[in-house]
Amino acid sequence: MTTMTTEAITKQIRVDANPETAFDVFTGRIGDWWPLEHYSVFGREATVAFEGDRIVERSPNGEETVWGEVLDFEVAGRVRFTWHPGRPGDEEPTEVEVTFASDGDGTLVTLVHGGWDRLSEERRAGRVDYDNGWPLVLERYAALSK
Amino acid sequence: MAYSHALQALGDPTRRSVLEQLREGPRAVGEIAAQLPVSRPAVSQHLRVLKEAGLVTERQDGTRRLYRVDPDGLAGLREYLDGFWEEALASFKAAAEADERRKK
Repeated sequence: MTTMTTEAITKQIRVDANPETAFDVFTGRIGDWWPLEHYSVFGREATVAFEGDRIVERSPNGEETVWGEVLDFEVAGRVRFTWHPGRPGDEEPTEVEVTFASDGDGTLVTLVHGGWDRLSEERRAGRVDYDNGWPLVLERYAALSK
Repeated sequence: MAYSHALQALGDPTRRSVLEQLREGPRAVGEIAAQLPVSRPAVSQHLRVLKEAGLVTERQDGTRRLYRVDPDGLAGLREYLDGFWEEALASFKAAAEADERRKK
């Protein structure tokens, strides 16, 4: 496995809003902006929210699935969570950290999606489950984007 | 869209069974077919689809052609996620800025 495939994915975006608002919208109103139609287990009618220390997606029929567990929650500063949409959290989750830094009259938001080393190890050991997890979520995406 | 090919390839239960076997180690077509209720040509066809989807590689080992799981399959998933986070963050930015404007 090359290091290229195990490096964290890093994304940065500047938002014309103060860190308090940016953090609040990211965590408190994730259901308003998350592209559920492209990316969810239950589809566009689903909802998603930070509920206590979990990120939970719910279908209109009341089914639920946990995308991740919150590890750090610093208001207006940083949120870090495990990331395993579509599969149980005990199966080697990846990890996402989002930081909110004041930048003039706006906020610089940095998202780092890591933990790929562990997944790669699993992959090398031939233990990645193809029937559950990412493919389940992505299958929906593939179907919708046809 | 290599990853959507991978998803389509995995939509077939026989192909998932083939992949299951390959996860245990490299196999020849005959060995895979012996474990499944399908013909050897059918297994060859499934292997071709898996190979085109980037999930399986093949190599010649003496007189045998061995198939194995492609360890770089993860790269396709990462590529997909990279684009995904970009889309999600752009959507987040729009929501946060709309919120800020409402407050002013």
